[in-house]
Amino acid sequence: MPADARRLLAILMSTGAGFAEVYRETTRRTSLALDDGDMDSASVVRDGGTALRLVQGDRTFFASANSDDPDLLQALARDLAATLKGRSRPAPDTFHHLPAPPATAVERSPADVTVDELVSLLRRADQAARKCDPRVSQVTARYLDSVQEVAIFNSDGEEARDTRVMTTLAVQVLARQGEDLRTGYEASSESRGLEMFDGTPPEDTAGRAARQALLQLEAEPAPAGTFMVVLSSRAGGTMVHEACGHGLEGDFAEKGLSVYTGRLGEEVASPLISVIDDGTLPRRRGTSRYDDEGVPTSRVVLIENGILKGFLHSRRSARNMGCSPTGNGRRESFRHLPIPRMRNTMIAPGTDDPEAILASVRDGIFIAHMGGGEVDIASGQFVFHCAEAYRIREGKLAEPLRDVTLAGNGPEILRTIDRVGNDIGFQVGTCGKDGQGVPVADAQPTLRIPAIVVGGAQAAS
Amino acid sequence: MSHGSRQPVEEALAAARPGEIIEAALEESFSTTVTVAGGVLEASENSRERGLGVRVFRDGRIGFAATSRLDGEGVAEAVARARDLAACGRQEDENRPADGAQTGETTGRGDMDHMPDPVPPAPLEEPALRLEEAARRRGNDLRTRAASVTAAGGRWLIAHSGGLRRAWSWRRAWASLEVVILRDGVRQTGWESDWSERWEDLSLEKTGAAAADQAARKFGAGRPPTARMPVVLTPTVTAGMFEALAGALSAKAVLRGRSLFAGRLGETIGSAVVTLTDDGARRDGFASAPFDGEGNLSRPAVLIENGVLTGFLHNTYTALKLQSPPTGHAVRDGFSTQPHIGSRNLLLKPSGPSRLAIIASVSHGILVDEVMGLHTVDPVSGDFSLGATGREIRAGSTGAPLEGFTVAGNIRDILAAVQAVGDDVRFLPGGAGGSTVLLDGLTVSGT
Repeated sequence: MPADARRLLAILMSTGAGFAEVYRETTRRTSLALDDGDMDSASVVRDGGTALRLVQGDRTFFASANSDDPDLLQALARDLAATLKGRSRPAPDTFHHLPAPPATAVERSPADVTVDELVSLLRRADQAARKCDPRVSQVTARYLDSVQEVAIFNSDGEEARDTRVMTTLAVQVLARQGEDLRTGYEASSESRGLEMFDGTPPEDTAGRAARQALLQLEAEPAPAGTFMVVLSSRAGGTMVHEACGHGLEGDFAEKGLSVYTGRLGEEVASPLISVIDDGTLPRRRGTSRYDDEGVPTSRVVLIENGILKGFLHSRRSARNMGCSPTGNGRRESFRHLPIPRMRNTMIAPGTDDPEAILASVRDGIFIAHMGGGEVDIASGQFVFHCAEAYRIREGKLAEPLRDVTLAGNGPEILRTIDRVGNDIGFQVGTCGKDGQGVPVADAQPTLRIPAIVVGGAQAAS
Repeated sequence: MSHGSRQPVEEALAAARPGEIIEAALEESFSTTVTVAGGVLEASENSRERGLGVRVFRDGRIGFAATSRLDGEGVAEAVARARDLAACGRQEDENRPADGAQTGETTGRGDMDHMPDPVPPAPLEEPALRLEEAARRRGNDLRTRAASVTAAGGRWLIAHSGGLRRAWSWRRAWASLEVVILRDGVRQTGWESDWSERWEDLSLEKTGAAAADQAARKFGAGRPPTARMPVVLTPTVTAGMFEALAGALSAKAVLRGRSLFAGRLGETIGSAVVTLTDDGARRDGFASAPFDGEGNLSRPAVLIENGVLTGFLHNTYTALKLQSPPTGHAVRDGFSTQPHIGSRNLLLKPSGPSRLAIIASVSHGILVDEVMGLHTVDPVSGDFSLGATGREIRAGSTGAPLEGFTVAGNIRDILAAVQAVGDDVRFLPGGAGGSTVLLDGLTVSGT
């Protein structure tokens, strides 16, 4: 442990803090965008800083600076310590590492790649999208990587060091037919280096974005009203993220604010539904070895066969609910306080044949691709956006529908899901909460929801 | 800014080689937040920020790099990386930095260039408690997720080796709270916020009470029938919807063929009561500053006037490309992001009536209090479909609460459907302003 971090801990503990922490981060991010075939914006950002935290009972005192100036940091530490009036405790002499899941080996670090190579990856995406159809009018391919080095030291003598490497390709495609202009968007992102493109070539991501845009040109306005809906496993997991994931984050639960508060051990979903958040899955976008409080990540069973089993915890929410932290205390950067967040959240596969689920619906809506969503955690009201959808008629896919939002109530929808497929599909995203964005993944099998509000613009006449 | 703090900017500019211009933007800022819940302090946060963004303009290409390391070596590395990236950038004559010779009147505040003194956490605790107390007084079944007061401030220095030098400081405070009322096993949320230049001027009582009232009135909510009907938007919803639309008014989106408004300048795109402006210099806006993130003067942009599309939001590049005056809409989110075109103090101009008069004019419709999923509005096609919470309007008065429904349509339909824009303008923390708006018909999806 570096002497300067120990010095900061000693200052933070000089007035009797129950818990003190020094969080250090350096991050290097590269971003390149190929817009309409030309490099449009390119940036390299070197950012980093220190966050100091002192916890006494229910009170948290926090300071951060994007500086390694010891004088400034020590002054900030003294300001924090001055808020308490207890007896000084010595900083730990030795620090130990908590056992954590193994690191994912990074074969090709973004730090070792030339700009020319990245540009050629983007060109491959661009050309693949254009090749799909002459109606593809515009392609924006964006490459992003980040290498984040984190070191955390606390007053319990715990030390955690983690290197998080993330590689992302996002492709937006515009398709035009006359005056009609439609968008398709697709992203691939994993906690690994550029070897991600060996498994998911840029052509795949770009092709999917292009097909989505083209499909929208053919699509008819979505209907408005309440319908039976089948969510395909390839639609991703936005529904589980919004319908129950946020409500199971411990900060809402510890204050009694979540719709799931006080319901541990009770049936909160159909017995067909099990929900898991797993921060240890190799290479997934929400994976890391430690969380941003130095707690090892884990596999957390949230709902098992419909019964509520647990919540996602930071150190604070775990303490207030009398359980152990789960490795879900996350922060966007050193500028923020860690709060309970999802990582890789999924509904476990069931036993139904996905084809049979589709065939079971006489009149309904089939969702093939979900986008973003939002939830009111207290009431459980949520929405999720669907970028690719079809009408189901007599058990078969019929006309494609324009992108549309579905709205429901979390516990109500989870209780009514009556068919669960034996498949599963992942999707990546950036989850926003309290002004902090963190990388996540989510997944679902094919699901049937008997009745949910479909927010089309076409009211039946 | 302390003595010698301009050093990183001077060093970056001095590194310019023949044939290139280096632009450097130095940000220094602080932010102090105090959060309370249940009548006690929960967290105090104090953040300091200092960093440099560098753009190298060379042969009609641009490269960007940013660093929080402000010693000679850190600055030199940022310049070198920006120069490397410029080599692979798109080449266009219009890729130039802002014109340093621009003159004009600016009514923006805070054009002095000293760094405001950081506000310590201690004085913010009492206002945060007062904010929460105002909500708690409305009912003993109310719990607080968080009630917080933030005071922030900072300074920007933007200069380039071609002869531009701008500096200004800013100061803002905002208060927000999220409360939950638990009644008969049902939970409902209320959220409200306020901002002002100084934390001493925040409307704490009104904001706290409004959050509590918002949660309380949702109990017993049902779902409306699926139908097309008149819809009234509250100021917050109006601001959010028009901010989502602003992406399509970016001149960059227009140039790249990514806007539904491309090629429609001078055409009627909305009803006659739609006049949409964005003035980064107006005194009462959250996003006000004398200059934008490239150092252009903030000027009023008239985007839609009496229903006719009259202009777009510009940065230096799009202004040169479309031979239009720059409007001052190059926005820098912080030192580490490149300036991009964005709205600042976007505002739909009031057409006359009060909020009450607008509601009184509706015989059968819906008042939309809150929407969910604004980030899914597609500014390319203009399609939107949003989750909503609101109230019935019957014979000119608001009635039963509604939830779990959606409103959907296309931005084009919204612009054409605006019947009245209320006089209850408010600018939200973040920028956009809005007031009560009546739309003559929107598809509501419910039971």
